[in-house]
Amino acid sequence: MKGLIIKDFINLKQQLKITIILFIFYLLFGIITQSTSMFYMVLVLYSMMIPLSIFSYDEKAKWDRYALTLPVSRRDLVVSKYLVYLIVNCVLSILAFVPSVATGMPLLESFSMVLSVVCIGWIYVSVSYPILFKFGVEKSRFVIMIMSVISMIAFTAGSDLINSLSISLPNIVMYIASPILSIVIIAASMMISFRIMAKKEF
Amino acid sequence: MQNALELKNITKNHKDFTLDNVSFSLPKGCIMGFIGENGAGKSTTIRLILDIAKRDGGELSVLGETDISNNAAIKEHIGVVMDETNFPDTATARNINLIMKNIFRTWNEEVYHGYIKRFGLPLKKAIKDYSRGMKMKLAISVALSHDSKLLILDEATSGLDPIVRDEILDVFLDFIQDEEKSILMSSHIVSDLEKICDYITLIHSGKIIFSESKDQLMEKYSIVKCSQDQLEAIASSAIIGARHNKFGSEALVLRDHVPTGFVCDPPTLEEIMLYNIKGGK
Repeated sequence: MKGLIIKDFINLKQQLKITIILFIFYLLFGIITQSTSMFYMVLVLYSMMIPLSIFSYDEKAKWDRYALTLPVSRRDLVVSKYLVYLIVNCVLSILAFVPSVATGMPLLESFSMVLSVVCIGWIYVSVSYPILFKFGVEKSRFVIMIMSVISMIAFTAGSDLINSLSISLPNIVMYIASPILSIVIIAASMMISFRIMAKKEF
Repeated sequence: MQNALELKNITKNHKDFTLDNVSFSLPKGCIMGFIGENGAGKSTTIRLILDIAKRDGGELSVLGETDISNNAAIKEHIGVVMDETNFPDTATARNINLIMKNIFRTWNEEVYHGYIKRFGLPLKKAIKDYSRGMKMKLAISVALSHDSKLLILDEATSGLDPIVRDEILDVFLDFIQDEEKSILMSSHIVSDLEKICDYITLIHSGKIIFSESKDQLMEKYSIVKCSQDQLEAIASSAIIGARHNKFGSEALVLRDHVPTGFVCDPPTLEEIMLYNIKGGK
């Protein structure tokens, strides 16, 4: 399985280089204009584009069909995609702290911003991965686009909600509830993806 | 385990195509050529052997294992080369080594680099810039760089020039020197198969026409050339297929059933295949 993750990062290498440059640009832009919301939007957008890319490269090369001739199980094919996103997500989450620290945002607020970015990303992955496994990138494009729009709206609405709720709800409930909810959603997504891949024929 | 591969009544139903009770066995230590026209079912059969597609009926054993779906580890011992390369476009031969050594427990880096060098492949060039021959050589290098006991090649030499094909066939002959190793190769290039195969299996429209040793086939059949009238002297059941033109007739016949007086030539594998498929009396 480790080999599968390495393969995905080899595919992403070029794209990651561009992404890093763009992030630095948006970060500087955010610091200069003292507005970091742009950066967070871009962060969310990129965290959505990366999974799409890894599916796309594999589809183009018809990798899955070949991978099954190697000592790789169908489960491995599923889990590796989630793991790649996890790794990318960890890096992006750490990055998400940078603009808030740079603009002097209070730690708690920046933590909730990061949490929302992370949760939105995972919800997106949990919903889009089974679709991508089932239909492939080309056929899912339209659905994925709609979902990206919905996720962006959810993100903006969500962060507003968080800000208004933090007055009434103790933050600690939120900080525990959202990760737990995300884990449940991810687990369900993986189970569905396992079923889809178990039956898929190449 | 005497047979590297055993297929018994394998069936698969597709909307416009059916694999119908496909049965054959590949004895250990042998090379089997799998021939048939385009769309006859060669690739489908191979995909079923590798569990890339699911069968609707029949039994299958690969290297003695009957349940390959839940046994990914058996693939350590199967080397596969398909007709298209499936490696990431931007990867290099060096990247492939890194990927494969983290997939195969039995990956041997030295052997891999040995083949890369033998085939003259560049280490740092992206695969998208490879020629077709180079891509095939890379895929073959990968298939031979782990503990493969069974090589499955699906049209691995198609689209390659005769020089490259010859190089590759030599590599396969080296591989088969070990009695524990076997090869199943599907190809249209019947002359390649004639050179190196011990067994030949012919598939046509999803059905196996024959699966026999090459020597037996060569002894069993003859090409007879005579006039159409003379051909009538041979029993119809002994004529596999015939071609007639205004100069005379040519037929593939069962040698034992030919009366004396006819000139019998040894058939080529291609003639055996063509007459078995086209028939005609």
